[in-house]
Amino acid sequence: MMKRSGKFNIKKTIAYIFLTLLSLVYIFPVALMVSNSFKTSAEIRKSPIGLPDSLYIGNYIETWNTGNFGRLFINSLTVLLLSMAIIYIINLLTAYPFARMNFKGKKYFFLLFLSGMMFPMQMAIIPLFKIITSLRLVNNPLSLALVYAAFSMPMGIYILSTYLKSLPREIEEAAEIDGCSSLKKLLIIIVPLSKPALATILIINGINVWNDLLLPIIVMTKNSAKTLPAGLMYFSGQYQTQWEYITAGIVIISTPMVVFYLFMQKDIINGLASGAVKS
Amino acid sequence: MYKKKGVSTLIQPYIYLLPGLIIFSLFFIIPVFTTFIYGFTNYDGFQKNLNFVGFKNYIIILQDEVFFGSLKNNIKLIVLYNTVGLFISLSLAIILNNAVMKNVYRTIFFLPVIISTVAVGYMWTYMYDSNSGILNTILKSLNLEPVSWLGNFRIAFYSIVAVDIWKGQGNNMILLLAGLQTIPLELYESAKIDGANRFKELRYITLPLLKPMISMVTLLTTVGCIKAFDLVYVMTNGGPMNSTELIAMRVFKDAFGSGSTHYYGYASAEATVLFLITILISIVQLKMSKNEREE
Repeated sequence: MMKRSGKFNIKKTIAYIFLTLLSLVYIFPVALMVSNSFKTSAEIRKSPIGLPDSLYIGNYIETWNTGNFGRLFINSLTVLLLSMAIIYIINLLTAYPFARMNFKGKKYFFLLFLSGMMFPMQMAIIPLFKIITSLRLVNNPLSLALVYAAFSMPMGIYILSTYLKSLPREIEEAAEIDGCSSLKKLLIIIVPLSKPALATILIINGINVWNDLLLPIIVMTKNSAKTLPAGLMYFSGQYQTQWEYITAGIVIISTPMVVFYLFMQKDIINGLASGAVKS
Repeated sequence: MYKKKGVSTLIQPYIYLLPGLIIFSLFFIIPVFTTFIYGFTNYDGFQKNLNFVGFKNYIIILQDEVFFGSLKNNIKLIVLYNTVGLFISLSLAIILNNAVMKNVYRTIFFLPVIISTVAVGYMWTYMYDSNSGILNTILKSLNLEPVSWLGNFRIAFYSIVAVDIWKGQGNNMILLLAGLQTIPLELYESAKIDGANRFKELRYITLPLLKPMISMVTLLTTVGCIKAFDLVYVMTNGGPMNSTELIAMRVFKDAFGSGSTHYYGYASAEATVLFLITILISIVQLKMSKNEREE
């Protein structure tokens, strides 16, 4: 018995060494970006790995101003809010009849939307660019929001309609007797009850929309219309190997996501896990 | 009165579907099918010049060495992600499932999933930089030869795959952890009574019961690897000597890149091949998991 628990501990020790080493591989690059973003270029050359002597914020001022990061933040935020608004409206309206109504062709419409899961965005990108150009939506955040909304539908409709089906119908029936229209029912009764499903949709799409690069570099060609990832790319192209500025840029664009993650960790992880379990 | 209500409830579902159908058609169905059609044309992006050329684009693809190189890289990425990457995620999930400070470790390993690929790309470009990069600084201080991580065409692709796994495996770890939590604890208790050791528990309880989640993770990973674009675009733009090209990069460059010798029609054919590979892999994977369920 003694021997067995001793053996067990060795295994545990090995497991913790593995965990610690791997954590270092994860923490080190991130910590280094933060630390070097506070150094002058001379200091980086002298001590590329150590902690900064003082919290020099010159890199941040230079990066923020020349990289136009204020503008980039506003653009990314606009795209995110617009996209989420359209994604919610479209997915709720479309999932609702699949969960609560009977109509001709229901099965085929549902399959049509679900089959979209198979298509990567690259498959559509060339004609998308033509369509957006002919709608005169180039450099307009609405173009990104509409495409993200379309691509959110296969997963979104699946998650929402499954969730709505699991909700009890009694409350809605009571509202119906009170003369509630179906749209009112959707807004007043169903939306508040579907918070978990809506949170999953927010997390899956929010991360995608905020971090997407492919569509913005094709559709948002003007510098003043760029989103954060594309803007960081443009900025880094100009400041090649001037790492004091690029590290500052990396920290600037990552901080909001990291803060959001640290506060909402549980919801983010549950959201992603339940999204995958359901699909 | 009665009849009127009947008609409106008959139409009502379609009214709800209408906005979604319009957006889905305009920004999804139509573009996807147009890509199929463009693939059979010599379309160059300007409306005037569009002729059907049959399978010509596909015949050119068959002789396009750069395309085949990128296809090979996509396959390498899929294989490495589903072996090395999956091994790391699976070990982490199993260790973390009963670890002390589970939440702290989970936070650390999941963090890069949240950060944008562009930021991660520059972060590692800095780590890998051959002159001022951190990895070479460390190597030099240990009196070792510096390595051209992203400049050597034999190494560059693997340097990027390492970053890709570093960034994305946390997502798989979370899914596998969720899968582990669905395994009933009683099974382990009764196995312990039967005298099973940890290895046997893993072999006969954990892995078999985790199989549905593992195949789910492999499917998601594989589809993700086929779509991979951002990291390579940021870190090497396909170079050196096309050694880090991926199919999604080819589609993008052939359609939108400056100085490309190709055209929309050709890029569309490449996109169609990309799609066919996705479908093929999904079908194989679904068949495999179905067979397993029947066994």
